[in-house]
Amino acid sequence: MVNLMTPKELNDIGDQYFYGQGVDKNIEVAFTYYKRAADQNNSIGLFNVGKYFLIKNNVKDAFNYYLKSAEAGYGLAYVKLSEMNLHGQGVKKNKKKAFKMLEEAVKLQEIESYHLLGKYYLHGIGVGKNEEKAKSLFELSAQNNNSEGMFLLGKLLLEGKSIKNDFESAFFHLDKAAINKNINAINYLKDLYNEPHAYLKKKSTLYRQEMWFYYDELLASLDDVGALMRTAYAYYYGNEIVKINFDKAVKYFKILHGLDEVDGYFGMGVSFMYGQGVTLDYERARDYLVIAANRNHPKAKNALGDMYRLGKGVEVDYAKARDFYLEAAKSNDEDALINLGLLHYRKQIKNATDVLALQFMTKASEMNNSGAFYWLGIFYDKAIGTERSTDLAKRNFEKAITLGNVGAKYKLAQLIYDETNSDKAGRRKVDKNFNIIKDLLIDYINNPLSQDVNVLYSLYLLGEMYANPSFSESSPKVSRYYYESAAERNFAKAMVRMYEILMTREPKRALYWLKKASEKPADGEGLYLLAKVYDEGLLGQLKDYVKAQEYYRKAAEFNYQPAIVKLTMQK
Amino acid sequence: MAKIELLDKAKEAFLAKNYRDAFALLKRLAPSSPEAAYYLGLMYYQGLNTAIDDNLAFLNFRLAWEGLHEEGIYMLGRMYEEGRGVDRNYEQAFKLYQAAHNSDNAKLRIANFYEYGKFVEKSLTNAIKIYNELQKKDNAFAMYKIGSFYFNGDGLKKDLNNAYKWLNKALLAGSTEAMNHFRIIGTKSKNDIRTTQEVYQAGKALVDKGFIEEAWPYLEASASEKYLPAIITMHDVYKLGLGVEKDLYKAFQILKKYESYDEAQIYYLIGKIYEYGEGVDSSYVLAARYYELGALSSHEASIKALKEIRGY
Repeated sequence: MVNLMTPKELNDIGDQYFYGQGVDKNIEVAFTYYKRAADQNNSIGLFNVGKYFLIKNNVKDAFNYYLKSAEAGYGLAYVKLSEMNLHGQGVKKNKKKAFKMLEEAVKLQEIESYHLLGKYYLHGIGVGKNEEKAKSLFELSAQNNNSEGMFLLGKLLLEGKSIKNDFESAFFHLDKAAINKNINAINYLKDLYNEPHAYLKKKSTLYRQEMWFYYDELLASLDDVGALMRTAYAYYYGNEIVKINFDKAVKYFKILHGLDEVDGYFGMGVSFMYGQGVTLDYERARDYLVIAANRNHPKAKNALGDMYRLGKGVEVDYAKARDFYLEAAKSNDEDALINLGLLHYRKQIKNATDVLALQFMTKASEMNNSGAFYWLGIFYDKAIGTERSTDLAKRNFEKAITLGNVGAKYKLAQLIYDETNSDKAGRRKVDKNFNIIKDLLIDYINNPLSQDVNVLYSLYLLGEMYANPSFSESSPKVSRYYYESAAERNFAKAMVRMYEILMTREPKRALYWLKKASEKPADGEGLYLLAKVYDEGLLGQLKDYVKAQEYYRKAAEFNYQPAIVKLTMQK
Repeated sequence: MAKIELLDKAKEAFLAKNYRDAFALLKRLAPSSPEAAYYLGLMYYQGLNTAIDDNLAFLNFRLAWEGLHEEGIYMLGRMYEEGRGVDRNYEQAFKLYQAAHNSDNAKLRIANFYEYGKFVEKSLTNAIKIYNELQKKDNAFAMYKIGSFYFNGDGLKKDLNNAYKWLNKALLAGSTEAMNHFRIIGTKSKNDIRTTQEVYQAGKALVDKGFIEEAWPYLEASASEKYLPAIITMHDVYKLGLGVEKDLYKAFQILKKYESYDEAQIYYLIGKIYEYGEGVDSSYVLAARYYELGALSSHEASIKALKEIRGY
């Protein structure tokens, strides 16, 4: 029965045992099948027996079988023979012979041989160096969809000394090789973009970083752990060139988890904790984070602290949070240090002290954490654990800003503004400060990370500054623009300003703003003004004594003096 | 030369657009020939070989009317309708159009009066009756009107198949209005070889003469081909009240309609309207938003206006 099997069938079954495909791997069994194919003088069978001997380190027999396979016309056998000649396996080292063997393989149109022969020409192995010949062999290889050929062709076009360099097609071939998952090409391209090749120097840094990331992500798709980590974190936290994308972050964290990498556990943990790219699931979050924390991942410990501080799936428990933060802080985790500082600052734990708040924050700032500098700015401004020092507050805010903190811009602007107003500063100083404030606030309001409430105050402050004649750029027009921007975002004080601005030119609209301001008043001013409108019948509004009284009273409730005076005088 | 021969010569010159000779001959003949007076009136009316002169046009058309010249009667009606050389008077105009009962041009005006309810009560049925009668005489404009009634579902049940049948018929009969219609809806017909600019200029010329209703399809056709001057002209018609009642809100709406063309000049003008509250509540926030859009395409005026309103 078995005698009826064709060599192809024999080789296929042999392969199944040799590589353990669908059966238990057993190269001895594989050998019996290969051997039967070889005994029928089947070139692939002969080759496979050679392969078997090679793995058994029996190079002599391996060489002989490869030789027989080659003689039977199998190209890949020549490739092997060339390799063995080159390294002196089972035969005396002989570069010339190595070269000749490969030439034979090329004659037999063996796809795996083109780029190898090209390499022999490139490096002058058993033949004189010849870049021209190497190039045409690489081209032939690339045309046959061999990604190593594409890589070598691209590299040669870029680095070749005697051939004409062609950067554009070099990058084309390299990219094609990279897309075909050729690791050499990917790593080579990353280097080219990292330490920019002359051809790339004209491109912007941003573009180069983007391309580097693109190839690093390709590398990640080949399960390179370093690349997986870089890519996962880039998508999770975002940076100048990578937009936050939780779906993608989770995709890579999952792979890392599958590879039993601690960052995979941490990543899956935080993703489940905040429902980023996965459905929110505190229990699973906890499970993943505990594993990562047990493997000493500081960020995982910090995240567990956050779970207790924020009450994510557990009762809020600041003491437990502190314990986790302290664990993480042992490895100087910046976030944990800041969190500890804040627990003390907010007096959320027993024996909290301002001094410790300041100490933790200072420690975090030593890691150059922008958030730590922001809080130090606040602490120095509010005299937390230290004497008040606006100078140190400013310096810390400035440092936070240079490190990319957004909120510090608003805080610094406010600090300078209060200082300028209380100082009775000279005109020139006011102007200088206002220009600084203006730049800070405009940056702040245009930043997507700014906080809505602070944006409103920023807009209002800009409106005030532009209305101040001491400011060299003062302009009623710009002032109105900022007041109006704040009013449009429901800031009551700004609506009152809009009332004043529009009352003569657009009384209807002015009244609209005043009434709107009185719906959710922040202070008594708008209410008092509306009372006056009803009291005196201003802006075409009919007199309404009852309403006037009502709004005077409401204004007085805000302790607005003119309203109180008015009501007292009526009595 | 006999008077009749001279008149033929004058008409010949007129039709050959040899206005100089025609004008000289017609001027001599007009006092005694109603037909000559009619042609001379046309020359004053359109400004051919002479400046437009409404008074002289009116006087000559009246001479033609006295001589019972049908087209002359029709033109006198036009003078009353447009209020040129005489106070506008739709009643007079309507009666004159009725008197010129053999003139297709006059019939078209009567149909127009019914369509828009000028002097007479609005009646699309009556208007359609007249257009249908004229359509049988191969009148291209009447065909166009029937097509557009089907297209818009006014007076006739909306029916796009019939609409295109009639619009195409009108097109073949040489109706410029049909051509404009196809251009407005973005399917320029093959026999329409006018450039966008030419279409616009035809519209602009009509605006300059105060024929806003007639000008509109030309302006809309060129505007639909993203021809900015057409949009600006339409805007100006309402902003300045050229031949229509001034209406700042309508002027604003025209710009808004073409906002999607992503033209800096349009953004800029909308910004100005918001800044100065022309026809809308003033809003610096919206003004700045539109200047910003204009500034995106490096439009100098927008950049300047933005800096002035926003401080950077």
